[in-house]
Amino acid sequence: MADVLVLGAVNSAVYAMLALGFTLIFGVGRVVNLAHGTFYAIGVYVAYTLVAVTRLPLLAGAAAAVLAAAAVGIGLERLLIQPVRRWTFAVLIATVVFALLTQEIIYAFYGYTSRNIPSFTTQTLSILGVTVAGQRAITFAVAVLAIAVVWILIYRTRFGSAVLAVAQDREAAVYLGIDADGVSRTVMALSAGLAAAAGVLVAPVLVVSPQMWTLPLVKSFAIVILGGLGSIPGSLAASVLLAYTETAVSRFAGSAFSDLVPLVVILFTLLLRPSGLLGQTVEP
Amino acid sequence: MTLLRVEGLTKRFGGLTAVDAVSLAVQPGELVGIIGPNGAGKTTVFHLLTGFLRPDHGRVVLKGASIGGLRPHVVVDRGIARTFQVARPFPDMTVLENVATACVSPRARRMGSGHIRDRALDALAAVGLAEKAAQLVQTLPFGDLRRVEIARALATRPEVLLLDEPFSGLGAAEIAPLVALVRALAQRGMTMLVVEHKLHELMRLSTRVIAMHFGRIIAEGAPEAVARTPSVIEAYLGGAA
Amino acid sequence: MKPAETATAIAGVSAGAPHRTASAGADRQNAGQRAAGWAAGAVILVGLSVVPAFARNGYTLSVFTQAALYAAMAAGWDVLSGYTGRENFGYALFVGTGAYTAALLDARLHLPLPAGIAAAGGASVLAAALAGVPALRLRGPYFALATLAAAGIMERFTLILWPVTGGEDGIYEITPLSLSGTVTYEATLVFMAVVVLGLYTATRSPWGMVLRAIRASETACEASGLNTTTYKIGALLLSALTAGVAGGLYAHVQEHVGPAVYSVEFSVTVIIMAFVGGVGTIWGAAAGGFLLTLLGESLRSLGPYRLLLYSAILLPVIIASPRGIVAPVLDWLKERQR
Repeated sequence: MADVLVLGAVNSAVYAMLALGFTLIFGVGRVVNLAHGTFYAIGVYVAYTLVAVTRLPLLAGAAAAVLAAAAVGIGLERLLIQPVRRWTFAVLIATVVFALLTQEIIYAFYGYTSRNIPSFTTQTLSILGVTVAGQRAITFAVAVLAIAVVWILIYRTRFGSAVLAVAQDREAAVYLGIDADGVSRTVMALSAGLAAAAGVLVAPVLVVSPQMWTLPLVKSFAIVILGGLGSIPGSLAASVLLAYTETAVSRFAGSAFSDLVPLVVILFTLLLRPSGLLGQTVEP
Repeated sequence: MTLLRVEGLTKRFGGLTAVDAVSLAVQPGELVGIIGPNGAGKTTVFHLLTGFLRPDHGRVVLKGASIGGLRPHVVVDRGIARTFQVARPFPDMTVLENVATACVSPRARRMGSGHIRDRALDALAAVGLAEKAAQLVQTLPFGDLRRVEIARALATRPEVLLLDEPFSGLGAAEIAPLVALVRALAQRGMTMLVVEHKLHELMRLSTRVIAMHFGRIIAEGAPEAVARTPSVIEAYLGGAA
Repeated sequence: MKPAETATAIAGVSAGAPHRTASAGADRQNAGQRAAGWAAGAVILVGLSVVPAFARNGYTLSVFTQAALYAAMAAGWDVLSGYTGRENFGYALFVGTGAYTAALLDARLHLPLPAGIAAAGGASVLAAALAGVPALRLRGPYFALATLAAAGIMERFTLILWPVTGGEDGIYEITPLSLSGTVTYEATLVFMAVVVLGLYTATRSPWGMVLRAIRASETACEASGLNTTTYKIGALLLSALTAGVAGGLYAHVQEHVGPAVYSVEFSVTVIIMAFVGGVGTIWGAAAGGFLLTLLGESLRSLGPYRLLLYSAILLPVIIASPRGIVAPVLDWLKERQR
């Protein structure tokens, strides 16, 4: 039971990192970015390449991976999303094709076999009588730190005010002189960086393959829809809910069923309460 | 016999009472103007009458049958049609198609005869737009878009026609023909409720005027009399936004 | 004044009035274009039907058979997603349900092939009624995500229920549609023709016009007296029926069904096909399905880089023409003609 509590906590933090960026992008641009999981994958593969191939220290490799993902995010926003932002359908197709393209590029370089990312540390801690891998503890700490930084950024800085303004009414924000497209790009970079960081933190315990973008995407959706698209507190609450539900289901019913959880969450939330727990009401 | 009767119609949004116990009766052939400052609840009344909002209290009775709370397309089927304050044409479709869709509705099919296309052209002719039938609707000037909306409403052969600010946003040149159209409809016996801010035009068209403020009816009667009522003047000039 | 008299009295017209013939010129031009379109379609269909005479081997013929199937599937996707503003990102749910139903009824229960395919269509319609109808309240990205999730759930279930569905491996030993590759191809071609013809006619009817109006403004449709829900359900069920039968045929043509038929890649493939061909045209989506399948096979020599090249080319195209390719280009050409 205690291990469910601890594991759930770690997963909550990681999921929150993933979902936060996703909800920001939707809030700011009404964009459903189907390539969100790709940033996660990019983080992992870039880190792997730099560390395993060029022998860069793990921390530096991780930092470089996050920056690389952020750069890709800016490129995606500027080249693919901004031109077709008006057509939701085109954004959906463009981002999903981009995700497929990245998958194929990764496959071309690395093949389908899974890779192994070394952990940051192999030490273990003991919390609540449970042996916690040091990696997991670091993951939790870094994730919470990242979330705190983002929270401060959004709610305590001028840039954050601009983000909130654009999220509330993009046109009005433009009239006020806010560079909405610039805000979108920065938010995308932030989101991509967060996703990549989440990937790097979790990769040592995960299967790494070119298709690894689909699962984080589904989880991000589930969280963001449950919490309410565009609601930051909602995303955080939903991250915790989803992480614990999954961990419990996995513990008592196996991983095949825990994979179902995010999908079921998406479907039933959309059918029963589309605005989620705390989100803005969905226009009918 | 009273065609449309509204009793104690009330709608609240959270703490705000948008429509407060509104009651009115409309006789066949009347053109009832509804005036009032912004936020008085006029369009909300239209939404309540046409099924786009459900009333919290009150009844809406058309020809003796209650229609409050019915879905919009059912309300149209019973005989109330409306236009919108912000015109909602179907973009990327021709003017003819914009009206023909209304001709597909069950009521239009019941009441009319002949090919859908011909009936749509008739409705367009009624508003003077028959020559533009093949044009894409987004190429039309603003005043013509209003006419398309009216044609679409007429296509369902309504008992009562609700016009929501038909003259707003139009220049003097565009208003005159539209006013003439509304007058022609009235002269042929169409029962209408018209919400408008252009008081000059509305007063001359209406057989009766209702003034609203903060969701309530504050005056009712002949146009000139209502225009001179102190509470109405105060509502418009007394800082109500 | 009775309402029935109102409009006619105002118009002061009777049948055959001048305004009714005013647009005759434009009508003739449209009729001419439509006739040309029908003629082109007939020619193409005849051309396709004699492909077996020229096919070098059985493999080529099977590629054409696949192409016809994907054309029908893309058209089935288009009738809902290209017309009502409900973009279905989980079309694989309908195709997969049809495919697995036909496969199970054939391989496990040995039901006759036609019964299996009919059941496939029925199963898909049932899935649409259960998952799709409630989702119709949503629009835009919300509907897309709901359908995506529904298909994903079924994909997981094929793995969870592996004793029945064969899990990762899927179901083999499915009776082929016909022992003759030519017969299989012609039968599939007939199916494609029936689907495209049927759906095209439906969308050109008043019913189809209402679907397009729903996409434009659902509120205005309701205000025009139309029950938008019935129309949306109709399009959804038609889309599901097409996909279900296509899925059933797919099972008997491929002689194998696996979880891939419920996958996101499958859904996205069909969407891309419809997109390239032209969303909201039926014939465009079908053409996209047919051509992209042929193209995909011809690029097979590129091996693992095929999908990469595909996506790399597709991306700038999507940006340059966000509303599709073939049909919008034809529209543009028509505009230039005026």
